[in-house]
Amino acid sequence: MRLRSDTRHKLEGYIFILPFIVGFFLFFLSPLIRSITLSVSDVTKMVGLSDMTLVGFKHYVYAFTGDVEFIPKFLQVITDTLVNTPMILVFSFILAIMLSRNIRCRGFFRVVFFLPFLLGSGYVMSVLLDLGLDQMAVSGAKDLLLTDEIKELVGPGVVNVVDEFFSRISTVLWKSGVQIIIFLSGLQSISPALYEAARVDAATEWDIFWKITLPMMTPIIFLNIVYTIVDSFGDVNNAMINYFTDKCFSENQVCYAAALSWIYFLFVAVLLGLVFLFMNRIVNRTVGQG
Amino acid sequence: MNTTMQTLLKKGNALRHKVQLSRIFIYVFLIIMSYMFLYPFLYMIVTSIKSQADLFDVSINWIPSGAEWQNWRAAFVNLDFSAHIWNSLLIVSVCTLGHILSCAFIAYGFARYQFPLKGLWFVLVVLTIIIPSQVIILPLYLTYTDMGWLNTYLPLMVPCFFGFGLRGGIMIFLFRQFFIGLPRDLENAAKIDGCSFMGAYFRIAFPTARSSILVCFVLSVVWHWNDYYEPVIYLGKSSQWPLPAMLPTIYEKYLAASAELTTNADSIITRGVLMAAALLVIAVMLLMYCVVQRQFIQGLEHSGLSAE
Repeated sequence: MRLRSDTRHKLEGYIFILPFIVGFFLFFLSPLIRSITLSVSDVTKMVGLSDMTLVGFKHYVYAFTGDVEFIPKFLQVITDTLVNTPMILVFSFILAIMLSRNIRCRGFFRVVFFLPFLLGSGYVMSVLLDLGLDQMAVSGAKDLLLTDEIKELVGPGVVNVVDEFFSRISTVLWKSGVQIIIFLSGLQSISPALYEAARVDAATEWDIFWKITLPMMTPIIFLNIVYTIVDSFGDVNNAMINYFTDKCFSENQVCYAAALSWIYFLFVAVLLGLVFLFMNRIVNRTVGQG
Repeated sequence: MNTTMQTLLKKGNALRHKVQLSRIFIYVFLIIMSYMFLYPFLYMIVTSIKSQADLFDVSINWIPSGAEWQNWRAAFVNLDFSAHIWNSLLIVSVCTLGHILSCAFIAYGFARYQFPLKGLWFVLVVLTIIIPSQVIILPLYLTYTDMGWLNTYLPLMVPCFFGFGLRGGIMIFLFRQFFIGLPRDLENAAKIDGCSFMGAYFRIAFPTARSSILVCFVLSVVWHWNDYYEPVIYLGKSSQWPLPAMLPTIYEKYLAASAELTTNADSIITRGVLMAAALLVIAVMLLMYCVVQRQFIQGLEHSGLSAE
């Protein structure tokens, strides 16, 4: 039997995504549903988790009202992400702009800036952070900048901000390898004709940055924001993930752990949704202008 | 005439001066940044050859008084390197192969074909990127227990062949970008010459995606090599563990040793041994990166993530 070419085309498409569909049901959807059921149940028998009774949102309520550890840890992860993400974006953008210039040893710098990515969120990195390497890397610069005289001059408010900056800067930089390369690829795709036209019209570098580079880069910035947020919330070293893994595998509170992980995921989803709405508006506006 | 020339020249000189200054600033900034990015590696290398005396000597920072290779031997033994390196290599190579085969295949379907519910399926791909795998780790564990896959490498490897595994969604996304940017002419020509749709993919599209394959290869190797979270959960016997999973034990020994402040025993884990072990864990990955770095960075840059 010969199929109509239109049907055939659709069928071929489905053959290609078939592995994903199978994988989705096996390794994603069924665990997902099971995890939701667990989060609204109580288990009496640990083996095979057979005796489940529905208890509604008890675990969710308990997380916010009864658990003294949950909220501080959750807030910690949220603050870290909300502070680090803009820092990662700004620094990787600056570095990418510098690397996109015609400079010597560009290859060397690009390779170096990507190196910490190899440590990623692996155990080696967590050991290094535990030993305080991120502070050691900046201690020299910090001592140079924050001498006692300067501390007195600028007052404790500024000193705190600078302190906070130095305590985060190393980890921020070490996490920006992928973002630098993505920004770089975006910068190189902007047509040189645009820049030339602007220079002919006597635009300054400053104008060019705000009126050409930044608007053209909004889709890439969006991509990087999403990547950074997902990367930071999925980091196995972060306090929340450690917390619910411990609850689940060491303390055997499987249902509560499932509820915690859902609260966590829903928060990430809401945050990404907000980013999406916000960026959509900006992208539409810049497109409208152009 | 002469005076206008002179003023023009002066202006030109001033401009060149300004450009030169901004260049110097860029270089200084980039060099400081390179120091920051290289710091963890330099620190690990230098510390790994420090003797115990050097470690306690605050005046010795970057240049140790001599190389203590004993650290490396101790790290080698403590990691049980010769046994666990094979576990790591096996897991990583099979998982990476699975990612390359499956993610490119799936992505090709998304890039080249129009079919009902395509939008929905792609949203689901994005969803698998966004949901941290830790959210479903327990039900997954239960599923694998039912399948009898516990204490084997199957839970780590099999999902990779279906576009799942560690961040499979990102790989699908990367390959899709590549195939969207690839002109259809070659495949169409092949089809006219009687090539089947599978042939067009395997003989033409897939081999053309060399740069994306390399990017996927490096990302997949790095992510799987560093992963100690899943192996420790699925593999009960520590003899099956990959290299990074051995590091926590050494770190605990180090912490215990430094808390007691004992300096006499020979078998003690010093910071030098710890750093040597850390380097041994990432050594193969570093080597791989050094070999392919140029093509990899270029591939990632040209992965079709354009600003349009």
